[in-house]
Amino acid sequence: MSVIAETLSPAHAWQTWRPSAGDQWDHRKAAHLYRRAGFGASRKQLDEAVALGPQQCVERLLDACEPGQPDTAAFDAEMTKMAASLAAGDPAGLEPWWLYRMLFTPAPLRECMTLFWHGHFASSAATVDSAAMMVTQNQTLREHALGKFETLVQAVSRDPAMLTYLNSTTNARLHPNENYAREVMELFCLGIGNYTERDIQEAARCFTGWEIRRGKFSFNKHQHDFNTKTIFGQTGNFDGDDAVRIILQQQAAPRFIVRKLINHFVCDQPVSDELIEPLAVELRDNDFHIQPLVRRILTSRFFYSSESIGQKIRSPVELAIGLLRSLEGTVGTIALAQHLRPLGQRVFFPPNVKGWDGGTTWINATTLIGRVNLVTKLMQNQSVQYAGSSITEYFDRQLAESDEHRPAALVESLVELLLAVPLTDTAQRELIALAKHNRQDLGQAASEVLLTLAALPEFQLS
Amino acid sequence: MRQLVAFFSLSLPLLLPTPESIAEPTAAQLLPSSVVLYADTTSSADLLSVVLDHPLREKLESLPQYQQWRKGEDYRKLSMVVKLMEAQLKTPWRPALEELGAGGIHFALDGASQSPVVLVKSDDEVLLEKAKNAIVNLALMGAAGNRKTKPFKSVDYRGVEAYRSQKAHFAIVDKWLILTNSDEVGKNIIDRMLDGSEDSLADDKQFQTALANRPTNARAWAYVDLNTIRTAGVAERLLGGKSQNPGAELILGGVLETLHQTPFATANLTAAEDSVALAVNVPHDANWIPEKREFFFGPEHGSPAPPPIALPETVLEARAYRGVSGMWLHGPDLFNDEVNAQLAKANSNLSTLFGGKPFAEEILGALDGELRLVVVREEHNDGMIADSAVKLPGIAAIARLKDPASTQRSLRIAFQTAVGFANLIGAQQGRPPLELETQRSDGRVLLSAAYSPEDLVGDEQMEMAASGAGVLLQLSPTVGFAEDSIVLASTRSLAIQVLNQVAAGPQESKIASTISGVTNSALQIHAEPLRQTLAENRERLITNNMLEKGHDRAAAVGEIDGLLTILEFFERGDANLTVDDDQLELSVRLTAAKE
Repeated sequence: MSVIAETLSPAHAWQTWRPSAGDQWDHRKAAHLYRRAGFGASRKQLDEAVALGPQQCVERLLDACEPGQPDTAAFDAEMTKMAASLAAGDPAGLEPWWLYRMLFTPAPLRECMTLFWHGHFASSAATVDSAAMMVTQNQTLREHALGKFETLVQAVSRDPAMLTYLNSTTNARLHPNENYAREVMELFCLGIGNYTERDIQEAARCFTGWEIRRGKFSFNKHQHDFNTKTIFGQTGNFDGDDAVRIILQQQAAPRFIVRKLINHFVCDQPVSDELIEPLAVELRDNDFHIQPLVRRILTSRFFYSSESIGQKIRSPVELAIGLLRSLEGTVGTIALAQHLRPLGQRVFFPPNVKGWDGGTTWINATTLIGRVNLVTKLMQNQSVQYAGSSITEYFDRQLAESDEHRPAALVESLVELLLAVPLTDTAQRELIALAKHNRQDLGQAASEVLLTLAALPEFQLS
Repeated sequence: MRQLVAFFSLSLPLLLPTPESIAEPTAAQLLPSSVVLYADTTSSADLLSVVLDHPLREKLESLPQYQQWRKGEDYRKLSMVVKLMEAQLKTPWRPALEELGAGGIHFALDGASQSPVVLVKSDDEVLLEKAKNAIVNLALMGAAGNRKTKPFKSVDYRGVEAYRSQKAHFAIVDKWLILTNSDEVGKNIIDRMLDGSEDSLADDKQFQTALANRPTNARAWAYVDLNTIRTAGVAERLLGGKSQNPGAELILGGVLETLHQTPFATANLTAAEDSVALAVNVPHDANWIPEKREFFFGPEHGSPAPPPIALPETVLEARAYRGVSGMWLHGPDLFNDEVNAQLAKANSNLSTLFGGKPFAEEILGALDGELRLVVVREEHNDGMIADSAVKLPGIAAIARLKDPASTQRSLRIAFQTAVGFANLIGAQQGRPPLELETQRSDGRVLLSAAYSPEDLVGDEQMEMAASGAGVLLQLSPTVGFAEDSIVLASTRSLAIQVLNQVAAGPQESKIASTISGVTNSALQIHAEPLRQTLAENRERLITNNMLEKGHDRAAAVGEIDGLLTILEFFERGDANLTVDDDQLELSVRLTAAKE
């Protein structure tokens, strides 16, 4: 296994990044932050972000996630109302709802985190077959997205969709169902090799009597095993919440979560244990609060280093929502959900209990063509609006507001907005030539450059 | 303004002599005989009057959406174009348009080149020339404003100045304005104007036959040469192949068969003070219908749809003659392999449900062809149902049994079995059971199944109402029998209403057809109950609109409320399929609400 950043010392990697003359906070860096922590940002948002500075920008992203924020609260109320009307229908109807939420949310970091936890605590509507349960789970993941991890795991342990997905709807004391206990150790908290079969069996007894009744969690005391259990060397009359607490006391727990969050925010490649350790200690010291960990990651030297920028492959959802948010696009998300299906990421329908593998698995010959086609559809479909107009008119307006009308500047502007890494000289020259070809109609030139950009390997990187 | 760049202009020198024989040619005389689609309106004044003088116009213009649009950029641009045009023409836009199209607006599609053509005949050559100049000037101004190249170039054809763009060609000859996207077609029409021709659409015998039957009161009329279209292989799969959609076959099978044989189709649009109607007619011959599609028109080829039920609060009522059993049994001749496999599977499963009786032959075969489907608005006063996000209308299917005495029992048992299955599944999902109830009186039998929400305690009622099960609680599926009628309804109250109405005898039927044949199928949609049903599901419609179009709530609310307001302007919509010995007519009528 290749381990990234052996040259990055842990002490150096997690220090707060400070812009310098040779390493400035600019539109490209701000776009990197928004791509990873907010799906993407428009030119106007990037201008504001550059003015704010990196730390303030992260604080703004985090602040928007706070429950009391007026914009967020109003949007949440609207989304809750929509979810209520969809809960009675087909679970597939929820895909467009969440995509809509990601596209228009004033708290994009929270949606990024909700999507992360959806992949982490994967449950598929294909098995659960209840829109109401899937909405409840989605709201649970959002509510605790940046909160205390232990509370989140305890909530997920009672989540009807999760228990249905793992066939744990009836968990009797004489026949404990080990599915949930196994997944909570292997996939949710510790990772393989950090527990024994005995630990699973004993934890399963803790969750006995945790049932679903009429679509809600219910504790059946008659089916709960009230005898003593021994998990990770601790003995007592434990219940499910105790089991979660004991599991999270293991050294592997914070390392496991930190590793996953680094892979989510910083890079797809595996990260060394040494690099993880400082954040694991910090997570434990913060009582497993996720928000400080996310703040630390997003403000770190590592996050703004070349080991991070362009070192992830955009998931299909990140690709589509990112492009639309960057260009102030609005789209019918029912159609968008259908376009995303063949690309390997259906929200609410993860492929298995491990969620999406991510990274290079997003890309193969079929999905690569599909991703280019998706961008083409988003650009050329008349029903997709960019700040209320067609893509060509949008660029016309953007360029009219800009001082710079040279083809080279146009290409540079689009690359800065949409690409994580610089283009090769050859690609840059060809795009400038393409823009020059349409010099008299720069709006048209911009949309053609964009379509060409979408076909480049660099466009797939985040 | 951008659209204007698509035109090119061609003007005929005034000195060019016009042959006496074609001094006042008709549009059909100017078009080639290879035209496969022709449509015209007698005059633009007529068409404008239908749209602009209609009482609905004022109401539509009072809509907030229209008022909002008037404040927008699109309206500003349109107003600017109109003002510029009026300034150049020195005439207000409406009289200008009336004059420009006084001799009619004609549309054609040439089959040989697959090019559309628009011919507009004016009464005022000077105004037409001014209009051309105005359009050319606007296109040039638009291109200059957008820093684009000149949108068209000037060409000359037989002494005529012309303009050409990539997308379309625009010409004015004598009193005619010609618009097409084909060089060849444009030249062909100009040649006819200059030289005349005996190979025009007007010389086509089939066209002449169709034109002879053009109703005198038609505001607009259209002709389609189906023979040529079929020969070209267009819609071959639709008309000739096996269907993959049993629903479409059930609704349109006989019409498709006729379209497979009939030489042409005509359509005419008529308008009255309170309604507008479109009728499509095709020549028809009973011998064209093969045995496999006998289910559609009936064995004697004239089986009528049953009379309407006409319940209060009807949203939709569909009536038709369809021998469903015949269609199912001819599945191998009508449908592709995939559909036949599904039909075979369904036949097997349904035969099990009906106690082993072959479903297609005995159960469907027990129904005669008179089918009715009604959708009615239902009151949802129950507190729990009122909380549900979706409020269902009532739906009932009504049919007649050929031999009620021998069939009723099987159908009752099948209903009980189906309720049993539903309860098994419901129990797994935590729903209360459907309870069966049988009621016999006055020769009627009602078998209904209903949920008993009182089984739920505490918050469970609210929780169920908020979940998908809340929708199901609105149902009380019922099967009812009275004499030879059977009704399958989504609610018990609806089933009772239907049986009462059936017992009251046939209701008056308003048919919008222009021919005196048998009504094979009829559909009525009543706007007010539909509006109320949609209004009760407004929140769900708003959600759908937001997700479908990416709108924010305000925009979605605007669209949905606009739709609900527009429905207030109408009373009903009717569609009828009528057949006689030599014609088939599909007519559609929209009736405005009374003041």
